[in-house]
Amino acid sequence: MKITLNGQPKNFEAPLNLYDILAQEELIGMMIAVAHNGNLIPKGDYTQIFIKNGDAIEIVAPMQGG
Amino acid sequence: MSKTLNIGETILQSRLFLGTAGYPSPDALQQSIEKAQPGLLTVSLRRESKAGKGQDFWNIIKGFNIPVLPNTAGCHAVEEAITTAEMAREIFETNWIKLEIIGDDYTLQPDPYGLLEATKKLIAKGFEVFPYMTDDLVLAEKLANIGCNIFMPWGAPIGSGRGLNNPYALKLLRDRFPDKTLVVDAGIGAPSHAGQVMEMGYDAVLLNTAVAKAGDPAQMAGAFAKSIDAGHEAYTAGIITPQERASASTPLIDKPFWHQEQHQK
Repeated sequence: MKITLNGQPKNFEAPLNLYDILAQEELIGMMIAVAHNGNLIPKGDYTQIFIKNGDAIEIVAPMQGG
Repeated sequence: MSKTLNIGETILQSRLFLGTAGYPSPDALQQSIEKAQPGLLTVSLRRESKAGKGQDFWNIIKGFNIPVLPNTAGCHAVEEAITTAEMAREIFETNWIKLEIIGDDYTLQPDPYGLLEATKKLIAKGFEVFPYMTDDLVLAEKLANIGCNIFMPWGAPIGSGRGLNNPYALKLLRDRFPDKTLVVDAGIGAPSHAGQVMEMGYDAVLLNTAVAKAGDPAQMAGAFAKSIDAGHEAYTAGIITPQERASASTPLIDKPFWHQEQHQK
């Protein structure tokens, strides 16, 4: 299954949910926020979001800003 | 005269709002914050990878225990800005958002139409919106009409260091919105620019590049802090109204060789 992760195409083995992706990316426990197909997913809902082929996921963290 | 500034129920300890981007090193950022003792720090969001760069940055910022104002820097569309604001709220656990929707890439001028639409939607979602805006009076009126409490007009384009391109328009905003929180955001280059803003009765100044790109960022941060304090103190003290003609400060009556008749001609 191919998804777009932070703007880059990436292959994952189905089935999986959002939490699985964050675990594979070693981001569990990090200070992050996640959007699935343009919608914010609250922290507690990661396991409820099942990923489909073609989905887009954005993962962000704090950065310097003006 | 109070150095503090209330935003809702939060008391900010300074009227200097400091950006955290573009410093030569993490140490320079840290030293600048220590020297400026800002009332809040602006932060942003960027894509995170396994390297976890964002976590290192956050470890520096959280140690200061200063309120943070996340921004939507780089957004050009309303929906993009709204999702970014929601992600910022999720991460930083604050309903404050510095709303930036860029309308022109050369000047980084904010898009007033997108700003108005996004502000309305974000207020409905419970955000306290700090809109990065032009100094347009009509835009400010429309923002006020939808319940926006804070205006952040630009002084000049972001990072330009030009100071105040249109002091008249900024002064007009202050005069017309005495009860709103007004902050000049962007374009500040020298501490004197920040002092000028505060002498107009603005509530705060947001700056970043003027400190981050200074020869000695920490020293410059300290200079801005003093200028902002001085400008605010001067405003609350009541600055005299400029006049065209001279007015002797030293009383002349009873001065030696005083001839009253001569001066009554």
